[in-house]
Amino acid sequence: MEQILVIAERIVIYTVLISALYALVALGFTMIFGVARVLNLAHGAFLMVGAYTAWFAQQYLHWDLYSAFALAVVVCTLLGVVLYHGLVRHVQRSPIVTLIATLACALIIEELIKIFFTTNTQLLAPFISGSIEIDKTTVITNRIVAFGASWAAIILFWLFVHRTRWGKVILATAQDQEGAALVGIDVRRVYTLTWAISGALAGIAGVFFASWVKIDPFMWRDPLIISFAIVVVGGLGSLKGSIVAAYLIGFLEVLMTYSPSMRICTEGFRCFEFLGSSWVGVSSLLVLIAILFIKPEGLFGRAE
Amino acid sequence: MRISRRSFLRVLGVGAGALTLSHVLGWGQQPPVKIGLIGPIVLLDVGKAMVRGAQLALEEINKLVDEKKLPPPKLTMDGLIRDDQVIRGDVAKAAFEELVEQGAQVIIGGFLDEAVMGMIPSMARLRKPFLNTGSSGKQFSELVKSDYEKYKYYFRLMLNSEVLAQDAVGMVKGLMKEELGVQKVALVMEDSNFGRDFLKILQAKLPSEAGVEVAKAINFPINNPDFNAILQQIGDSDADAIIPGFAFNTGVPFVGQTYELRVDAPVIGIITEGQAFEYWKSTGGRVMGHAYADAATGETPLTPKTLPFFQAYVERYGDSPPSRPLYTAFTTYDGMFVLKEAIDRAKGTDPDRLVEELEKTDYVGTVGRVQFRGKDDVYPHDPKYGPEYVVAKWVLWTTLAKDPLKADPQKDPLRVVIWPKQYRLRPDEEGRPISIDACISKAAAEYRAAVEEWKKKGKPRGGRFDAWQAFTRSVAKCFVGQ
Amino acid sequence: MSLRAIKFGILGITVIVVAALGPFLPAKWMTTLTYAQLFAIYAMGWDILSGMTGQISFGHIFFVAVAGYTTGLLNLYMKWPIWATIPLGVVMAVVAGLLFSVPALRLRGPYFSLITLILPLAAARLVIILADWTGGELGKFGVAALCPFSDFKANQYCNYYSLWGLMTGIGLFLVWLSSSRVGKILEAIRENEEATEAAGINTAKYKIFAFAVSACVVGLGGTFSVHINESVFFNSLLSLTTSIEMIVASVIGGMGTIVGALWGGFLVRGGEQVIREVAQLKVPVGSEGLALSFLERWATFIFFALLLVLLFFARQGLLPLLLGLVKKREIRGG
Repeated sequence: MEQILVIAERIVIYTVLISALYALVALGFTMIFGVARVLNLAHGAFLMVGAYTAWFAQQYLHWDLYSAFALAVVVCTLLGVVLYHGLVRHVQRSPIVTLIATLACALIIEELIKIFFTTNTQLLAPFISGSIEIDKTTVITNRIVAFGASWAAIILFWLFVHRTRWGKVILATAQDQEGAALVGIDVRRVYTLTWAISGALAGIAGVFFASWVKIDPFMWRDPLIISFAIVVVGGLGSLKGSIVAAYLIGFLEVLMTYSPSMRICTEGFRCFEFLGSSWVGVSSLLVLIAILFIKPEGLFGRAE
Repeated sequence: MRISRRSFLRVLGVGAGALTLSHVLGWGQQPPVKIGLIGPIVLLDVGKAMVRGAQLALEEINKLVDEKKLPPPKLTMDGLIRDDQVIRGDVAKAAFEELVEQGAQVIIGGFLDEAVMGMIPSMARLRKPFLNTGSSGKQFSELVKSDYEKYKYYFRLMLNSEVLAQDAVGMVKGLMKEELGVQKVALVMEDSNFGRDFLKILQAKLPSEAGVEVAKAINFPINNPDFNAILQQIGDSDADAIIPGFAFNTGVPFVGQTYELRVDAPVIGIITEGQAFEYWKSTGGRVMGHAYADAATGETPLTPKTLPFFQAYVERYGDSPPSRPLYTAFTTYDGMFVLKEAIDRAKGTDPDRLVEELEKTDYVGTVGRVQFRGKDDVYPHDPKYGPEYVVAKWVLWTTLAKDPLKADPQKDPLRVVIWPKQYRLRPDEEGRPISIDACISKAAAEYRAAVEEWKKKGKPRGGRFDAWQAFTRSVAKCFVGQ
Repeated sequence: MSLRAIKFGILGITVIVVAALGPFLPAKWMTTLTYAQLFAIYAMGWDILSGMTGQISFGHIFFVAVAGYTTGLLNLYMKWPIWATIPLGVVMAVVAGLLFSVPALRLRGPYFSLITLILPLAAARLVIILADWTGGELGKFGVAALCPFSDFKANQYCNYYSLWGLMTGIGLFLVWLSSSRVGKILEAIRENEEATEAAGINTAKYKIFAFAVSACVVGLGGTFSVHINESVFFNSLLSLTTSIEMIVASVIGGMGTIVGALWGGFLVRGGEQVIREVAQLKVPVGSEGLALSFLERWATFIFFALLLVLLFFARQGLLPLLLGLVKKREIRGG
């Protein structure tokens, strides 16, 4: 019995920690779609740029981690604006071309990183090193920092959108583009701001994601798939939905790591595992499919 | 009509003279044999290491031919090096065919199983020998066994995954159990063919052959970068050591997280990426204390050829990554010499003759003594395994620097072989091997004592971690002769 | 000249050129073009569904995998001959397409795309879970070859022209289909599905039909690839990169035109090889050590940058762009 309680406690702690980061990762992505109706496939690449900027500042310029972090956020904000004005603004009438174009950008960024840095995986130094014990669970301290920072960013973002003037302008544009233009809102400026904020969020997420796990030129793919999944399950354009979906997906992943696996074998001595840690990943996908079939707009989405 | 004796002798003499002359002229003018190389040379360090090993071998061989210490022909790879884009079987296949069309008589190289798999059918049809110096997938040897006549052109200079696993069992018994007092291990394997096979073999053999219990066995999805929960489970299981099995997964996050968590169990296993010198920099020095299997390691004089090759490599390439030779550099370097000897014995490059002569290879290279297994063996054309032949070397990452995180990644990391005992060596000023076995055994005994103390104190968190770090530091001192 | 005639013309010229080139190609190019034809088949198969209806499928490689693993594993374990396992593989792909399309087509836009993306990810997991049978993330050797020749040249020619036959047949069928009434309805669905429904057409039926055709075409290509490789090969049957490249090929060529996808397929695969060629002009093996030429490191970057430029300036795709230029010239009074 005690064993089960301990495991349950662990599952809760790990879920709470990782899901906050997942929610932050998906935040920028959902914002761009909610406001500008664009699926930005370069979102994961923004995270990667943030991570590499911080790493570069640390390794080569010998800055401390906090300055490196600030630099990463600035660079990613600029990147968001540049991508919007340089590319997306011109192609956004055709959703499929926008999709491919943003994907091409992600691939270009990957190549540039391979050229200027190495393909080897690297570690980003943690904000605080070491680990601490929470009741009977050992947790890497840096993750708690990431957890705190993620929630801080999410709450700040929510406050911005719902309490400031510009935030409300963005909300209005998201709801009705033509209506917003009619009342005199400069839609282009709103979009620029949206892309800038999305870039900034991605930069923050990128640094924390990297210090949570690692840096390499391919690290943009997982965050992109996670964002995509969270945002579609939660409902495109819904902040609340993204958070709930992030916790669902985080929970599933942690659960699978802890679930006992069953080994099923046939006479030819060919075996396969049922459940268990090798099912991390596929379980969330299956649940995703199930949810989408029951509620195609996502858990909190608006029916288009 | 009768031919006069004089004219007969004259004809004979002229004929003999012509024969000798042409022989002499032809002898010096044999064109160099074309060797092709295919590997992930653009993207990966293992590919670059392959080319560098081949290049050094080429130059040495050709120089020896010039000095008449080896018979002609020379070898060349000019314009015959191709990239296989790591995982693209179709690209590797096209490259193989192109090189053969351009006159390559033998192809060397091959890293990921995926790329090699693409090349095999063309190799069989074109009947060109292929010396695989980078892959450990055993399905290739199984192919040779299944249809010898068709696939006999395949040879390998690497230990395959099953042999590596068996070697690991031996290491667990000799090093972990007998010297370090390990009684329970935890296995952390990625969910790839390699990881699954490794897991299966260790789970089956460790209790019976090594007398060690498997306290926990974990199989994680290949790309998983998060090991906090996994390491927590391992901690709960009370394992005395952790054996990782990573072929695709770089292991960098794993190493980082074991350090941050101060995991109380030394990590000794197989992390393919962890053999590279740059791994210290990638992990920020946190790999200190980890030990991984490798084909060779630079500074240990495994054979009389190992250290000279290492030094030649560092002198030429020490400024650009990979700045120390990776295992593919060693195997490809040896491979070129093996080929050269076979070509000399076969007196030509006829594929079937070459295969016959390759099978008779007996060459002491940088990784050990190379002989190939015969066609009736379970893994034909793989290198023979054993203390007199080729074995895996278990290499410990260590440093003399006080704080590994602040060490200079270019100068401070040391890689010391801690298993098997015959390779516990360090070079003296002339590069000759001196045994440091006694020194390391003493450090191991000190570790065991420290662990006993730690258990008596109720196993405070991080205690065994510190004891292992102390052991690691002692090994570094052994290596520099202190 | 009608659009349909133009498409057939372009198709005809392409297949004749590819057929005629065969005997003149060095081995490497023959292999490269064999795989390029295979990829063009994938792109055309994608185009008849996503290009024509506008429902963008991200995970079309899934049907390649279904057909490929079916034929490969049946041949490997049950030892059934390939003229039996190939049709079975295609049938499985079509069944998968039908089973999937019925619920999936209730979703629109990015929701549909996400579901299609999940298919190959889930299939990959399944293949790895059943690794003892499927060979896991690598694959399994020992599958029968498409062509029974042990001579290298004969085998290569056989592969090249077999795929040529498949590509030509599929190309003719799809161009005809896309220009027929069915094709017009599919395009109407892309333009405005509600209006098409309102006109009394059962759009679901047509979308499902397009799905089945698409799965069939792509699956057929998959079965051939397995027998050319003589193995079930995870990286060629379930590569997400290939799945995305199918989309890129069709978008470059012109979505919905079929021949655009054909050309796009050749451009992507051929273009890759050209860039590799240029980059590998000389890999010097000399005393200075290996110096990777500038282009080798930048090759892939240049490829993607060109793609981006193309998308920027030829948003409709190359074929409509070229047709547009031709039309402009006509109007200007040529």
